[in-house]
Amino acid sequence: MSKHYLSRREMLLRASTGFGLTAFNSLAAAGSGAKKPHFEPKIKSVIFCFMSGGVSHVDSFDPKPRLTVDAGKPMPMPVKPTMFNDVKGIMPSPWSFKNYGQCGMPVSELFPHMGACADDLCLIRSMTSTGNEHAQGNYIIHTGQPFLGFPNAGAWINYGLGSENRNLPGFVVLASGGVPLGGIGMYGSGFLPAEHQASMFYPEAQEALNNIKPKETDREQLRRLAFIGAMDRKYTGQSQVDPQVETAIRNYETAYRMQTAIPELMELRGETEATRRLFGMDSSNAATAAYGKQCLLARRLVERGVRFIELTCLMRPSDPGQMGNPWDQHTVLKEGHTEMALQVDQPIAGLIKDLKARGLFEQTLIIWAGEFGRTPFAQGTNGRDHNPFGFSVWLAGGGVKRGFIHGQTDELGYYAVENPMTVYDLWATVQHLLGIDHEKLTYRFSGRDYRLSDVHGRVIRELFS
Amino acid sequence: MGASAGAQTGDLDFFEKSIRPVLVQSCQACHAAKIEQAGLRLDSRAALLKGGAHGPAIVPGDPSASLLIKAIRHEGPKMPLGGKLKPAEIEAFETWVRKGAPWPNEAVAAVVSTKSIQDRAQEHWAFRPVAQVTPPAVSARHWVRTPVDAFILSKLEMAKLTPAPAADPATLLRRVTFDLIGLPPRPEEVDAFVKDSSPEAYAKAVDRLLKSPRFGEHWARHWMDLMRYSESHGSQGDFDLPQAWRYRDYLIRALNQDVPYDQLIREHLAGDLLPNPRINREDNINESVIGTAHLRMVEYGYVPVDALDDQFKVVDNQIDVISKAFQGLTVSCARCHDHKFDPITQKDFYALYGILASSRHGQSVIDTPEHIDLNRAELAKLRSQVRGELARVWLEAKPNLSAELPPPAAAPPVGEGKKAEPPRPDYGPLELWRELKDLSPGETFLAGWNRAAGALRKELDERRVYNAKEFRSAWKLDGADYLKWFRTGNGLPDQPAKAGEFYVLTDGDRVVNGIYQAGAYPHLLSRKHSGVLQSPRFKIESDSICVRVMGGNLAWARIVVENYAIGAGGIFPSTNLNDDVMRWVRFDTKYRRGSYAYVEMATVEDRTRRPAGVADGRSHFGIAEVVFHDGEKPPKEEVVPAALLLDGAAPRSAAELSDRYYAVFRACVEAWRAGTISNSQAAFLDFFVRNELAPNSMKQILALAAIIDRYRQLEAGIPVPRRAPAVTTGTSFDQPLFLRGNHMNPGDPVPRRYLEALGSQPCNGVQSGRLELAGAIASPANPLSSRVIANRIWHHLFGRGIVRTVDNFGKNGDRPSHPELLDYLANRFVADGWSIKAMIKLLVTSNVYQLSSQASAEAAQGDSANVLLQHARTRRLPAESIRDSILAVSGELDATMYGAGIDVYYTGKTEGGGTVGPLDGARRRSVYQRIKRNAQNPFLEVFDSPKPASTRGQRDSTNVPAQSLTMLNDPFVIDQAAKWAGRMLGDGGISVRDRVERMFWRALGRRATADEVAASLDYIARSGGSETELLSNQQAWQDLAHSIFNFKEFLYLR
Repeated sequence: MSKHYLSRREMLLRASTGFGLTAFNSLAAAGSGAKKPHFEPKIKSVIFCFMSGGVSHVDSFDPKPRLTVDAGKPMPMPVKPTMFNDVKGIMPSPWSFKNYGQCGMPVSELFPHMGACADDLCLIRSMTSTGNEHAQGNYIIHTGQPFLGFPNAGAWINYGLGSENRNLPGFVVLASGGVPLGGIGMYGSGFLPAEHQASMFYPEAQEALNNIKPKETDREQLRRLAFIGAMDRKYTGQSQVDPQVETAIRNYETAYRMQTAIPELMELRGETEATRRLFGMDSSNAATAAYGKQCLLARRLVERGVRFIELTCLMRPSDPGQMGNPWDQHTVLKEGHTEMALQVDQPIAGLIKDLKARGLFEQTLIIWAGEFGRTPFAQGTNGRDHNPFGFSVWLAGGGVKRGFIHGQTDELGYYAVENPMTVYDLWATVQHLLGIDHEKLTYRFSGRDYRLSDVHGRVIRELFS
Repeated sequence: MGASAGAQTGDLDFFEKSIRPVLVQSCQACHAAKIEQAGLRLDSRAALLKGGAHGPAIVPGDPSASLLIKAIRHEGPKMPLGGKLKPAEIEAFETWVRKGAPWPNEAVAAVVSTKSIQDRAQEHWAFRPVAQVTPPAVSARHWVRTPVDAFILSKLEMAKLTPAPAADPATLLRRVTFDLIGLPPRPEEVDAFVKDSSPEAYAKAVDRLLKSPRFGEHWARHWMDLMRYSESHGSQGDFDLPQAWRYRDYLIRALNQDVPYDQLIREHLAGDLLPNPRINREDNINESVIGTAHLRMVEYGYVPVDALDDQFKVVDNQIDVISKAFQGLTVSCARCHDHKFDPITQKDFYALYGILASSRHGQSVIDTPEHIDLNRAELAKLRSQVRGELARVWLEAKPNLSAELPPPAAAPPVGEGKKAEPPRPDYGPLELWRELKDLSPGETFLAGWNRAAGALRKELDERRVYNAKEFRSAWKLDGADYLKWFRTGNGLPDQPAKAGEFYVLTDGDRVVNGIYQAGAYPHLLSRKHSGVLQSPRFKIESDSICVRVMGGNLAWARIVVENYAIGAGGIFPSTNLNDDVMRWVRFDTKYRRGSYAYVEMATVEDRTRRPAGVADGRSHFGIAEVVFHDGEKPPKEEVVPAALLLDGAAPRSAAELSDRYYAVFRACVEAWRAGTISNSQAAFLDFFVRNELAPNSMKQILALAAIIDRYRQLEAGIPVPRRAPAVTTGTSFDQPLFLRGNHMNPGDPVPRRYLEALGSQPCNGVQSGRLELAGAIASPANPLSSRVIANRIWHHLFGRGIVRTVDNFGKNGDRPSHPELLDYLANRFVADGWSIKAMIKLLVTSNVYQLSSQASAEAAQGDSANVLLQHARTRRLPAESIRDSILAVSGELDATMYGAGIDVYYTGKTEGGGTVGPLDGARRRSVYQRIKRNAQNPFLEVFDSPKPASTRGQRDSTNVPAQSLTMLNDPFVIDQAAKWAGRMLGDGGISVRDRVERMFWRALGRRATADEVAASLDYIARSGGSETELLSNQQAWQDLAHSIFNFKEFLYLR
């Protein structure tokens, strides 16, 4: 290898012929593809910690002493049809709860680290969904609709606000975990232009993003790009300059820079041991370490101005069959939830602490949610079925109250009875924090103006600080 | 029903605005039809007045006396469960009850305007009849080659614009070749075309392309975008849609043969019902029946708890696709309310809903009858010889009971070598024998007989009484009810089978499997024959449904709930049939009470969900009866062969009983031979055959060997019928309108018909109305059909429709840029026999199609969007063409047509994994790559291949860095560059320069300029070395190949 090779950046800047200097300068000057929000935003980025499969609220953030008192009794209220049609008696939580922080929020033994962050959490105990099975539930919480074809909330937000970083996509899914049931279509842009869809980053893979890794040396690639660029200029020079061809040419420059920006993002050598420990990356549990890495990457993405980041849960080592829905304990609730909590508890708490330490907490919103909760009654002997009628979700970060509890479920945790919230309300509220009026952010598709909140959605101002 | 007398419009508005939404949102999840918690429904005024367990819910005029008001005030029962209503909402309810609880008459609630829908429709251009137009006069008449040119030129002249010059021949040939067949022209084609200066040269090239089989492959993909073509159902599990690819092949054939578009419409909507279906003699296929496959390309929920909700979503999607694709209308918008912009009512939506939901989701055999009925007559003849020969042998044989009977504990063999648990007590023929073999001490044979016979008689009486009391017979399939069921497949005969039928085993030493009771069987001649037998639609009103069935090799029996097509167990009752003896099987239907359903029997290949491990296409089933009941146990067996022994004088000894057995056996065989055998006799005989008490071995019956050999030979020659996804005929019904789109809140049924705005009348008759729907759309009088398709063809050739919003001709869509031209084309299309190829030819032979893409300064200024088509539009190639071009240019493309989809090459994660296909997609065209909803082809997706969710007539043409990354770094692109370079090293030119020129020529369809050759030489020469060395340097040529794939000229059309 010659010592005279220039760095990518130098090469770009010096390449007076060939690979477009002018275009690069204009991009460098622009710096941002951000669009103006409807009003002053409270936050810039969202990190969605999606608990795929449905984490049990009555075993985590919504304690129900009645479950112990009435253990084994039939439900005193109408029970909705369940997927497995195996409705047994009321089942007590295998975990005890403890009050945490100044606010005294009760959190179960499952989540001691998150519990320690209770004073930073804005807990919603009255979330509802209309999806009673995973794929539809997943599509609903991500897109508002139960099937393929509608844009993910991240795509909507990207469409509404654009990206602050032209070298990174505005919507990133960190995919060391499984794909939720229903497939990657739920990360798509639906009818919105494809540029708004999620980019899947694979933190554990050889190539963090599909095709991001050049298969040739930098020098060879620059030569290639210069050659292609020269030919393309002849092509556009021959006819009226077509804007789409111009854009396509410019995309090669962005692509080239992404090849550097993404490996640089994924490179964690610069992070201290203390940071790694904070995120649980030193854990002997491989799933905890991998989830910790996602959390750390999420912070790095926030630092780089990426709008929407979704984290994916890893499978349970003891049940690799449940790749897409690892929280889904129709049986062995105790073992399954213990394993899953161990995976995410410390990393997510670490993320909260790290964002706070770096002054990023105020500009970020963490959302912690599954597609539904679980039933207060047993399925079989030791499991819980799906419960979309009332479950817990929490928010943490800029613009929302801290150490606060909103809404409640009934005495058994089956139905939301106070301030029930819908997925549309959740996204309307999140959009509001980002400076977006959910009723104004629309996209016309086949004759109708669509929005993330469809024809529903209320901004839940009670959550705002 | 339930309209309150004298309600004022204002009151009704108040109800709609303040009361109904709350009832729907907060109450009806528990208090509506089918759920009725506490016996209470809150979905009609009558229901509120009737009330529930605690009495009437409201007392009109008196809020304080109304239970409903008390409940929402939390005085007493606290309702709703979802949390106390807001004070304003409670107040609204109080006001409403005080006013007398006005509730609209639902039948008229939907009408929003006093103007008739048809009058409103005429206010919008797209609903007005297609006008007869003549091409306008223009000044530059010499420029007009076809009438199309006159329309375009006229507008250009008005805008004072002059058309761009004609494109150079190489550019033009590249353009038309991609537009017609989706591939680049071959160098020799370019060469010949550029050299041919005759006036017919271009028309000849167009004709050549229209005749190419590649044409159908390219244009089928356009149609697949409209039909959201997919080979799986999405959602959790992403279950396969078996044989979906047959629909893709159907499209390719139809487009290549230029089947008239009106015919295609009819086939898409009612191909199974056409009196004269289109037969493909070459492949022995009924083509028409494949057309309905698109109705199955829906996303089903995964084991939906609420099956009606799932049906609603599925039918909504079908309506969305049909109305957009064929009519450019968004009828699906009217599922909750009348269309906000277009003359489409909510009733229109439910009128169509009824048509579609009246058909069932399944598969249809696509073979012509003569093809799959091969050898039928001869098999039937041989079969009767088998019966005659067996009867002869059996009558000669005298079963020696004491010596030959198996010990009572041994389970008899059942099926082909499979052991099954015999039902107990079965009162099989030997039950009495066993009992009397060991008499009680001191008991005489006669006393023993009387005891045993008495017990049996008593048991039989008890069973009859019990069954009559506990069970309600719904259908007897061994009788006249058979004709009330829906039958498809070539296996099911016109009449049910009488007792005594059988099938000839197709391998092994045994001749027949057993002797059947009366019932419906599709496999009596061959277990390859197809059969689906479905009951009429009924409402589940019992906790259990029992079916008397048998079958083998994973044929199934199931209850299909609310048309949910892929239910297979769990909360969708279903059973795999692996028991060759007719028995009762119980389905628990408590969970589904109140739902509409039908019973289905289907062979394994006819199942909508294929089980794993299906081998040779053979399976079988039989069904005799269906009963409804509420208990936990199925009916008791009444076909009791032992009862036959009771007739006649009581036997006094074992020998006499043995004689009785023989007499009964003989009587059974004689009745069998005569065709008069009863069920009990058949069961008696069956037992003897299955237990090898009667000779049933080819070794034993030498006379049969030749017949059976011949039979097996003929049976082996029968093809396994080919199936395609389809809808089939079921019970027709009118769908109740779902108030505000809430399926828990049904209103009055809406008669089945097409859109009122188009003057459609309700379909009378027992059919679903699909045929009438097809007729209404495939009609020259329909103002939308011909306009919409002409516009789509225009869109594909010019990059933008005359109506830009190709899927929306409604008020919210764009207006046509050239309305007269659109009408001219629509008329012309119909006049030319709805020929797609003729329309394409008309358009591409126009001067306007052949323009250069060079805009004049005036046009760039005055019409920057180029709406007037002063010049040709630059377009990016569609995803499939990019991939196919790379394969074509590298020399790798395998032109094999048709067949099952190639599994997708996938490196990223996907739900559940699935099979990963080869990197090069088996070198086949993109149209042959498999499309799974949850794991789409990443390469094609980057270039905007659409998600199979709904109609997508206009693809995105996005421009994102991921596309550049793909072209630079994707292993497929690099691999193909390497293959191309390898070919070039083999026989690509005599010099470096020559080779560069050849590569440009191949990839771009034109000669390289001197500059380009120089730049390329400079680029590849970097590795140094002599010319000879360079000529054999694979990497250098791969680099050039890879770079050419990245030229914008390679990716764009000009």
